[in-house]
Amino acid sequence: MAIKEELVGIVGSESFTDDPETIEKYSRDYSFVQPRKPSYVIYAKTTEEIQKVVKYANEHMIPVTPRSSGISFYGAGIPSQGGIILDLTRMNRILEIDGRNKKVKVEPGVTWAQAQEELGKQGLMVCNPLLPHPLKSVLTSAMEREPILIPKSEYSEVFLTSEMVLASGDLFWTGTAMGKGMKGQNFPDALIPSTRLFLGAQGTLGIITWANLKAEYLPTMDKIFFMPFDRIEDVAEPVYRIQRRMLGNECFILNNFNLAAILAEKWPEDFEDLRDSLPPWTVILCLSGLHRMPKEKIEYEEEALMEVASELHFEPLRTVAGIPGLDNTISKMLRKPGMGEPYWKFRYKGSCHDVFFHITLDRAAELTNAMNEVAARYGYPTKDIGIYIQPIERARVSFCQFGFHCDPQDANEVNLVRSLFLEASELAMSMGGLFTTPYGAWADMVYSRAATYTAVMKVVKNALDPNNILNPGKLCF
Amino acid sequence: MVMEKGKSLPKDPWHRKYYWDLRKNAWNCARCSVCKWVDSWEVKSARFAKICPSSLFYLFDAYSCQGRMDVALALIDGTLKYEDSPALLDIFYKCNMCGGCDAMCKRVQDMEPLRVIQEMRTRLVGDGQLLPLHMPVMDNLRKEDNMMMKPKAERGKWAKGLKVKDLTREKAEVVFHAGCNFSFDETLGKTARTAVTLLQNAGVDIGIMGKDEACCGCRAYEMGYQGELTKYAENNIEAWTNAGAKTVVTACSDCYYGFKHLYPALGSKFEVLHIVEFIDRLIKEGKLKFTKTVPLTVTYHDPCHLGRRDHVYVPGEAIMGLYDQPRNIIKSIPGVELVEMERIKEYAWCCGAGGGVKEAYPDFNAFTAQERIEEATATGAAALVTACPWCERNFLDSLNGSKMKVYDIVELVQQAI
Amino acid sequence: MPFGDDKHKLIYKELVDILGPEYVCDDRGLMEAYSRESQSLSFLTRGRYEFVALPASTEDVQQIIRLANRYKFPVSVFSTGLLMAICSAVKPYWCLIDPKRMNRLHIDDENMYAIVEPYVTHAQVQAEAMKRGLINGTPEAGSQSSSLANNIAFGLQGIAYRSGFAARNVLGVEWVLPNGEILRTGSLANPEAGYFWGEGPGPDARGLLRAATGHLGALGIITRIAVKLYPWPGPPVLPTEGLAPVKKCELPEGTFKWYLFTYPTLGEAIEAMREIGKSEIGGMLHCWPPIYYNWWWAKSFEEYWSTWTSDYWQRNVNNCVAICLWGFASEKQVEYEDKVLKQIIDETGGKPVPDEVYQRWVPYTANNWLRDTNGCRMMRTGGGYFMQVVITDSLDDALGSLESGWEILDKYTPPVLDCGHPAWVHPYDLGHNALIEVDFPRQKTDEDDMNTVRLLLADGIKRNLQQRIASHAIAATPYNLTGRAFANIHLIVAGIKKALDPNNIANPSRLIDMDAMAKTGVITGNK
Repeated sequence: MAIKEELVGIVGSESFTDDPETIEKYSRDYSFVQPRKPSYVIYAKTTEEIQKVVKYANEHMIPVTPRSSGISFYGAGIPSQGGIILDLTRMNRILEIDGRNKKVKVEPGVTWAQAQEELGKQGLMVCNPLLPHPLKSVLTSAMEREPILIPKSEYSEVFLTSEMVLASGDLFWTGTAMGKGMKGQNFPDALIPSTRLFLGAQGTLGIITWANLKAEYLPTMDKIFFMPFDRIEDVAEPVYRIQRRMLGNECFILNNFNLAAILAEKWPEDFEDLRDSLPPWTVILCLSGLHRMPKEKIEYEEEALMEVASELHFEPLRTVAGIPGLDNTISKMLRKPGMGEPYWKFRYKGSCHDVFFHITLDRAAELTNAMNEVAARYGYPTKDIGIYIQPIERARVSFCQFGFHCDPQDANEVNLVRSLFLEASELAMSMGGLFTTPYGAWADMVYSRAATYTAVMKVVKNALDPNNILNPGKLCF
Repeated sequence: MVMEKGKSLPKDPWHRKYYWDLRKNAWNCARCSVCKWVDSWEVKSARFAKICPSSLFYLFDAYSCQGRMDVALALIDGTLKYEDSPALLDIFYKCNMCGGCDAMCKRVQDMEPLRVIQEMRTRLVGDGQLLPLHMPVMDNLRKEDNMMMKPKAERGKWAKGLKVKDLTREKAEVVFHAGCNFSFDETLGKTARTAVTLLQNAGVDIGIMGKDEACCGCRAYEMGYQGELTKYAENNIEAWTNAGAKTVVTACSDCYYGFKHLYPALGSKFEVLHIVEFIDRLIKEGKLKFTKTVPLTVTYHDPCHLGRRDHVYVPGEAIMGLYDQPRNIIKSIPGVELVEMERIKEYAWCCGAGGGVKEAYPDFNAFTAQERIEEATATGAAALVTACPWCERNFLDSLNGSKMKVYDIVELVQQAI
Repeated sequence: MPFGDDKHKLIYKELVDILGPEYVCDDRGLMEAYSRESQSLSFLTRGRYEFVALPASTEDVQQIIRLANRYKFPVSVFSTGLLMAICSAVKPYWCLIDPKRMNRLHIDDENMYAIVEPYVTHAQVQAEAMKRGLINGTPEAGSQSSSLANNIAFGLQGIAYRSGFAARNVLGVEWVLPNGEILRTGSLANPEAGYFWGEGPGPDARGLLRAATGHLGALGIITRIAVKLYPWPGPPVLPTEGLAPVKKCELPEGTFKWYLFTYPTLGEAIEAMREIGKSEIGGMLHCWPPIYYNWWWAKSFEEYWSTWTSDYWQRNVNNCVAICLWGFASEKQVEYEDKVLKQIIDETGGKPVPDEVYQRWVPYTANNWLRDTNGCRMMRTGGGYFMQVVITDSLDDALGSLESGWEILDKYTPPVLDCGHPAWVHPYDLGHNALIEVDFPRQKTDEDDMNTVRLLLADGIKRNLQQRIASHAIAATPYNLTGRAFANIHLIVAGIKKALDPNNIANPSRLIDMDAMAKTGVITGNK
């Protein structure tokens, strides 16, 4: 029987397509990764369907590329070698919200919009990155270890346990979920390989069908402070000190470009005005109180913040650039996804290509200056770089993201930014930046520097997917 | 097990109430490795975190207290024979007998691991398993009654010209025992003279045995030679009895330990005091006044035998020793500032000289002393003060160009009088 | 095994050629010092190593491993050597790596991590960290145990309410694989980067390093890691008074405050802890069973048993929540948290312990959970102890195992020594998960180990399997025995093990027994 018939036989015709327009849509995303077409798209609804599809694909050596999000930015969901796109967006149930044990169990298709709304009804949230796209899968964000806005150590490592389908079609579970019918399923560490091995894998080691993620209680009161700085060099020490005293919830750093892009309502007028009037750098810190005496909590934290400010001669303000109600505006954005359309990152020119990596905060300035230098060499205006720096785990490390914008319809701009993107990435890597999720072109850059790591990953891949049917061509596979 | 009040208790009464038993002690070692390290609560840096010199120098676990417990057990049970292990004697003798392991073990267990090591040494010697490296000093001891490889005839030289009772002919309340080190070491001997003079000036009825003084026998005992201890103990007890003494004072911590803790089992009924106890008492009674200022920053090294080894084990009780008296003295001296090393009191680092190590393993001995000098240097002190000639001599010999001064506490006191 | 045969002599000579004669031994007396410890069941440590080697560097370790592959001899490693059963010699020509020369420590205080080699203790790390306003977690094994070994193999640490399970405290790792290659993970995978972060790149190799327990050397030897440090608002030196064993440690008032309060039932105590976690107050939070109080407090056999048989702790600290408030931000934080805590105590019906009990315990023992915790005090009671059940999962999920744990304990008591129904409940990460541990004291005799403890532990594992509970005991059992119950994980691990350790020289029989797998004819799945 032809492949198509067999697949339709497994999932039903309503869950299968190979129409050219849909195929075209899945062949590309917003990254520079070379578009490549799949042969089929399957919209999985159940774990059993996924098992059957994957088993079939494995027997017939057909690649399978899972997609959990309705939106893809970095190329992980573009099939490198054709085959089946396994779209999991229809598996979008929130299976359990467990406030007592601070966790939520989600299927891969649950989006940020969906999750935060449902969890919010119970006074909970999943720690989110900065303004995630509303269609982005919460599970994918956690799988890809996207940095969260709240740098509390106790909140980090959001991904707990999971169920997945292996290349053989068999079920596998991670962490204390580790087998069928496990009583607990809440801790990432039980048997080797632990949950951690499967994070950052871009669907190459297994296809997640549900995951338990950490949930946190929503604060009942917030007070946001904005700390303006002219120089990036002056940002690190205040943030280190604030974090060392364990102050606050959300804490992140934006340059004027990014903050303007987030705040602007009318484009391009608002944006240009904001970019010009906002300080070059703003540290945003949200002091929060939970359900017991939140006001008193915020008070002592604010006092401690002012002590740090006095020691280091900076000023925590309730707004910057004289923007009225800025704290309220930001407060509403912190724990929700961003707008889908238009996506804030694409508003400037239509597309944005982020170079991002982890580096210690004390080197963020050095790397920022290096990115600026590369941009300047390409004639890319440094004022057009959107920069976001996220302290992680009380600033033990930081995530630095540099957004390079271009008009996707302008081939020259695209080529320039592509070259800039590649060179900036190489430079950041050569300066010690850690690219924890080697998307697209980064894979070769990363793995060519790490021969033994690559070899070990191939051993793991061979043990889990000997036919290399799961998202082949990604990472080092 | 046994049942008591409805509860299942250990069958072995030893686990309900401790008593000395060689095998039980060796067996009880849990390999927690606390014996290798300074008490966790007292670790102040990574650099000075070890308590056991032999574990740090020789590395293999057999050279730690824990390892020695394992080897002791194997020998006791017969699963290891002497001929099975060419390293066997080194295992038991590459140890300063400082008691650091013992003190730290007592933090968490009811055990006397140092006593196990001591008994194993005695057993080895008793079984004719003699460390060749100890032979020269033991031969000399038997002939010349000292541990310094010197002729007996030179023993009294330290007291030449000193106007003090000769207890071979006269009687006195207090006998001052110089000890082998002070007797024969020309540099250190002045400390003994100073000590005697201090006591005389304080009105103490004191005398010395002079050239007829014999070794205390304690170092030999720690090397496993029980017979030599007995011999010298009996000799000394008789000599002091004949001298009419009631009290024995010494400025040597080894001798002090032996007289106080080993001699009673051999019939001694003398009060035993270290010079620091005397001086501390004199200061408190106002009988010793300092008239000069000594502008010096010093740090104090607790000699093992004056510190943690000056303790009679009662499970659960604090490991007492003469820690405070020397410190009181130092703090009383005008101008002197005391800064402490990281490892002090019951968790002090050893000078290296004890247990027959100085006699047999000079490189290990030097290493241990140099480690202590580094620790002293790290305090910023200009001088390292101690209360034992073995410690003092070892530090002086291991300075290796360091500008650190080394004093006996009696010398420091002398500077202020 | 013919100790000292030609193969033995050849291996010895080669080891000496690599390391030097002073760093290799095969003397039987020296070997005896690597033969036993009190936790492991005695019959599991009967074997003797034939060699002990002391490498000084990763490269030395690499050469030993390469030698092991060439001459096909097994290698394992331990630092302190607690739980020796997991790496004891079970085959001839076994070489133990003793990493005493690998004792370097470096702290990056701004970015809050310490780089440690295997022979650096928790106490050393903490002493250096505290000087810099930082702290690390230390485990029951005691802070004289190895930081590296504990963090990669076990790591149930006293401050985990804030710092979490040890697995997530490991950053970059340097690792000699059984095939002799050197693997560098996390930020170390970028040669320009250093140790600062642990993720990836891509799939995270820390998932192979450890889970509930580590791979125990079966997938290679870890020679250096970076461990996370956490903010410490306390003094640069731990304040102590007294002489061992009668010591006090009292942290500065205003910045630290301990509370002990009890409940009629364990369930109520746990709900109080849950509420505390929800309120995100406290620096340390535990519910210890009365036996823990006695274990850590008693200074002698006699004191232990006389106090235990008088039921002093059982009457006064049963179902007791112990929390220490830390003023990370300032003393005002402690004042605030004090109010919140009192609110919680009132609402949940908690009762502060009598002051006499508080004063007897807190100044002398509470801060053990920062710096000491020495589990070997647990051996004081009868020579040994062991863990009947250890589970890390959500509070609700973990709790369910307690009843059956106690049932098994009761079945074997006596001769297991009296301990009540102990349950250590320790919320992690502000209550996201929790550790539940049931420990019991035992008489350490060969007879009891074989006839009682072995059966008790086996019963426990069977019960965990039946109840589908993810216990650490299951994690530490060779996967060839249990893998079928868990998605055939043994086949996956066997494939990885075979590829990385083709000669099966890395602590063979631990993690997965490849010889047993081969005997059953299981194909390991590699192409």
